[in-house]
Amino acid sequence: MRNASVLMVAMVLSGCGSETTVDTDVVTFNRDIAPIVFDNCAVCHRPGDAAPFSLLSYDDVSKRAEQIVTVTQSRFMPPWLPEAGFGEFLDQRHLTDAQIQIFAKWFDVGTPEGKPDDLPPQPTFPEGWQLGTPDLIVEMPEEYTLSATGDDVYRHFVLPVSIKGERYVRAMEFNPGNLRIAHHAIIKIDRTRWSQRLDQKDEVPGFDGMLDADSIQPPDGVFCSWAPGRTPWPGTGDIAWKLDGNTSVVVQLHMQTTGKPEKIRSRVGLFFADHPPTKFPFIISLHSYDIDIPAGVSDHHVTNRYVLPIDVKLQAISPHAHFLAREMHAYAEMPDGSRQWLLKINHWDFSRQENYRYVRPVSLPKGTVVVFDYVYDNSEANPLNPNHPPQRVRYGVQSDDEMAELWLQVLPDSRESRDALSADFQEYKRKDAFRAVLNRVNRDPNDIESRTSLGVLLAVQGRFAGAEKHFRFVIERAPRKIDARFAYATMLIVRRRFSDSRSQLKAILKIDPDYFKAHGSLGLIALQQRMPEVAEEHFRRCQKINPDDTISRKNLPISLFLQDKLDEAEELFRATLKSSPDNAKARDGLKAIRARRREQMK
Amino acid sequence: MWRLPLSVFWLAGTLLVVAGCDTIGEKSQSSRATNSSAMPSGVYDLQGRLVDPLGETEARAVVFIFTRTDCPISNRYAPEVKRLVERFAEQNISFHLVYPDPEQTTASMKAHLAEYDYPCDAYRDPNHVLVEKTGARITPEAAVFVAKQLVYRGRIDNRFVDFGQSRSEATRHDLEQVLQQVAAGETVEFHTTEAVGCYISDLKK
Repeated sequence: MRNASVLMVAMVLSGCGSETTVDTDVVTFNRDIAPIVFDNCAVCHRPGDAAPFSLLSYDDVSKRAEQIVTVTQSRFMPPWLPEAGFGEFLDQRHLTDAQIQIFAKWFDVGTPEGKPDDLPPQPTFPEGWQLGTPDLIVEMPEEYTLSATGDDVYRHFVLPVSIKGERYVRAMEFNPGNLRIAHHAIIKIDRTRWSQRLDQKDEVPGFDGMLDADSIQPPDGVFCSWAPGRTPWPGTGDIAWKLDGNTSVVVQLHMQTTGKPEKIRSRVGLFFADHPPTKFPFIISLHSYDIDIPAGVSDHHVTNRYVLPIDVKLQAISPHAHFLAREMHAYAEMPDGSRQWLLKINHWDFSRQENYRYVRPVSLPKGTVVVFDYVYDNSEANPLNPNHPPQRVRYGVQSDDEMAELWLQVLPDSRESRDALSADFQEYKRKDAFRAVLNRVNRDPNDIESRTSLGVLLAVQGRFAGAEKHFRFVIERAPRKIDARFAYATMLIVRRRFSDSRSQLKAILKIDPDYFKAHGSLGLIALQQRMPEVAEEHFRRCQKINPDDTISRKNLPISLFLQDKLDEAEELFRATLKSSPDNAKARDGLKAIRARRREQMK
Repeated sequence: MWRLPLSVFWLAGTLLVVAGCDTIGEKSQSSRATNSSAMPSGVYDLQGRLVDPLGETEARAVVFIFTRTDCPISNRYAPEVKRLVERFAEQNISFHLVYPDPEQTTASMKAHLAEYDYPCDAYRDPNHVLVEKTGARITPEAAVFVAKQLVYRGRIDNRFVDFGQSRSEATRHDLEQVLQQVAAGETVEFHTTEAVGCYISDLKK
């Protein structure tokens, strides 16, 4: 009897226990969910930040409980592409399987709130610039209006720098201005005025984000990118790049429409180093220029590799591809035969590009082979395939072409070893480009772009007869293709076939009167043929279109000197020496002018 | 007959009362509004008046678009909804946004309509009356009634594949196709499609 009573009490007690908050097995918001959300989600899911709704309170989170289960299980959230265990990166936001299960358990038990005492304090985040007060802030000259609807927009914005003298920049911080539409940004610089000129071509701020130019580069081997929730890299003080008044900061910004018109005016904060850099990073950019993905194939591999000629420390890594890429594998085959994973992405997302900075730089000794191997899905089953039905897709910069790139920011031990790496890498790039272009032409003999590229590569190697064959093929089939004509014209100058070169250059100017390089080359021909007054005219027209053009800037004073227009020639040489005091040609020019004046006095 | 000692009864009863109090205490700690459960079940316009969304109408079709003020996918569809409203304006097809979030104020809904330039009116559905009638699960999701019969429920188009994944352009305009059939006087066979967006079930009534 007594035992039965005890049993009854136990049964009653256990029955009551599940309805009280005494049971510590029940997942609650305050104890179990809030810590995860505050640590991983709140940085963006708070008022004024990137996300469209906040996740700071029980109400906020319980109103989206099932959705959170879905997006964490698919790993859509938090936004972080690299797989755990294949590289340790700063700012990684990766939920463990256990954390993901906690959300599901909480949903299953009806999303209880829990004891107030269990709730951790609200997270706090720094306001304003995260790296402190910038030494210089540059800004988009005007607002950009993003329309209410439409596909994602990629646009370059040019932020001019106004500074006297030169400084060294150790860090940059991007401030989007409108966090709702800014999705990610890549920040580079342009030391010429080319970007500004592209910007000024029309009334709309900026220029096409898919348009590229050789002059727009990561500054001196340093990556800078931005995505919501990421912490800007403060730099190390011994790595810095030179900034002067001729530099523009160029932001390639990816924006998503929201359903209503939006405005944006972004800024970049620049933080100066106290002294010039003592360490010199280098960016190794691996590409595949002969991508060719047949229609319908769901697992097409694209790969390339490079053998390191020196010891380096790998500091940051950045992959790139377009919509069809699905998996990305990047690894190092070490000299001892082992494989060191550098990065692994199982679900590439074109709209989430960024660079990933290692918590600890990865040592890669001389002889290491760096490899990338990307997998593409060009089948109908890929909902992100831009083509329906699927089509053959090849290498190209437009978003319906494909690319495969791996950018590595590495730190050599010394300036000398950096120079050695640079020389080796240039040679590798030349050979790799040649191999790829030859592949493309062999596959598609009528491919105009590939034949133009092959012509250029052959001409650079001095294989002029072969180059000429390809240039003439292209010009015949695509008479308005200026780059082929210009490459051909340049080769003809080298071969001293001035009359043939001149007719190509004049044909170019008929197609595009603003093609300043044609004027520059016509000026050079005129100098060769001892017609300095004709040369002067061409160099002036070239300068008018592009004041930064080096050919005309160097040679205009020479054409003036040859006409005895000594005062103006002297002025131009002195101007060159002012901005580049070591310019030997300008110094020689001034010497020649002094000698000529002495001759004239006799 | 076996009987529990009185003291055990008392102990069990006390525990049950304590459990009940704690549960009530939990609910009162929550800041969730309880007003909606006190209101009579129904659908309301933004002036607070009870409406019969499927009442007598001369419209050939009645379209409900379930939405939230803070659902990014719903908001990205605002221009498309506007386009459809304008396209079918002369075809006697009526459109109504429906807000199923019981905690949002009508002021925020009115502001939302203005912010996204919606050219149609809106209802509040705090008790999920329309939600249940249509079977809507997602925002944004469309439901079309012809002669008070549900003929379509699902996505507006197939632009969104999943969270964070969208086509550059929709290849199927499901809602528009249904309305074209209605406008042409054709019979629409009842069908549904899967919508992508926030879950209505998370918005507890």
